[in-house]
Amino acid sequence: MYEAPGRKALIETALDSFQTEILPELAGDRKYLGLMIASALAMAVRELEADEDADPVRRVLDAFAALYGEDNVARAGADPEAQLDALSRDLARELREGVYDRDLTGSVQQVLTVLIEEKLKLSNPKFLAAREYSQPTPN
Amino acid sequence: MQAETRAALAEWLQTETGADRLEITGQKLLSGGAIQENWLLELDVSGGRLDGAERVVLRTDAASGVDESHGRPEEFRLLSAGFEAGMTVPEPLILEAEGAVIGKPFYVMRAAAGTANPRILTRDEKIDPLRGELARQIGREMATLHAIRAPRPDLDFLGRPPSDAAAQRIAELYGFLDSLPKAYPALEWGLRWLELNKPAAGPSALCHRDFRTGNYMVADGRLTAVLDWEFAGWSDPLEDIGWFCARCWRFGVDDREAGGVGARADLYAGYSETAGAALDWSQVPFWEVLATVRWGTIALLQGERHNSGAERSIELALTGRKAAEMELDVLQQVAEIERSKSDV
Repeated sequence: MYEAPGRKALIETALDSFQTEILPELAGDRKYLGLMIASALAMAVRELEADEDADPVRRVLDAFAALYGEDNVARAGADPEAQLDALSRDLARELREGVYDRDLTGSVQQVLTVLIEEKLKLSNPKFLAAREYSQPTPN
Repeated sequence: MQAETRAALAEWLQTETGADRLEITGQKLLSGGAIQENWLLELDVSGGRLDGAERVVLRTDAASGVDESHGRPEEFRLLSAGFEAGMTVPEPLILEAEGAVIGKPFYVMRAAAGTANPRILTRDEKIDPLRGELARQIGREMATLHAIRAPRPDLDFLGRPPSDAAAQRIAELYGFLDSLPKAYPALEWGLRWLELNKPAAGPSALCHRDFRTGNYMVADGRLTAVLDWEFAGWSDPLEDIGWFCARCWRFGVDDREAGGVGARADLYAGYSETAGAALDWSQVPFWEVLATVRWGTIALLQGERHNSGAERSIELALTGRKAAEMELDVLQQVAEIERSKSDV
């Protein structure tokens, strides 16, 4: 029942005209607001793309499997997002209980690095590439 | 500010300061306050305590507040403590604690010259020749602040100094993470590392706890005012140093390790000069990790204010999404520290 352009194309088109037609006209606080709007829309586009290919969450679940085993990842839930939430919660609790104290910078750090890198690919890929912090940066 | 409010304010100021005549000739809402509202007021005054004052700032609460921050009356006392100790802060002028004049408590301070904008302060080439002195000046300001020690009856609202400030911070951060609907294992990992690597507790001092680029003003390369005292409290002086130097507060200018504005050695030199002794600088990396975990957690709390519907705001929403930047920072900082340990 959805007509073209679809949701992702709609946001992309809106973002494009916003960036070329509106953003250059803005200054001061309005510019700051404009940058935030562009940043939010670009993030939404990246996440719609991620939904299409499902690879990001898969890569994180694979990293968890290296720590916990495939079976335990499978047992964490049916939906990948729910699996990820449950596994993150388990890992947070285990870290707090001291389970990884002897090797904090070992395999557990690798899992966390994959998790955070995948999050950043969606929220702010420029930070991964060049440590460029996102808007808003508070004054 | 409505004309009615402004008239009530002018009348109150005139009476309270004993002026013969006081007019508010201009007003401007200053930017950069998600939690507080700051109004620049232009005054025409003769007589009384504000005789001749031209530019003052009225600071009051914005629509929303952050739970752990102080109210205006407490902030006024903290600012006064800093001013009396000889810090470069806006001179606190008058407090209205009841909310009877403009509908909420406020205080008035003298306006400072310059800019607090981090992008300008970290990137303006005109400041470059003055950066050494600027970083030393910031160090001296911190040392002056940290000379304020308990007991201080005027600051009794701060409670007693913690016996172990780092342990208290770590416990607080665990509490904040527990209040969030999701788990953040990278921040948990950072907190666990902090627990395992916590240095021995030292004596507490009055700390600003948000002393970073963006929260002080600079004019012509010189610091003119340390602002935003709402998070101040008793803590380990190294907490302020770590917060100032943490990579997340260098605004992308990583090689200027003192807040993106200057060299770490200059900050430390200015500090030691005024304090009469150095702090244990070897502990700073620990406090930078703590600063990064803290900012990541605060970012998530701010995002949750939006997500929960308590306060809808694109700024809060995006601040929550920034947390992943700090999570990666924590992973990398700790890895670097551990690497340097094994190199020894």
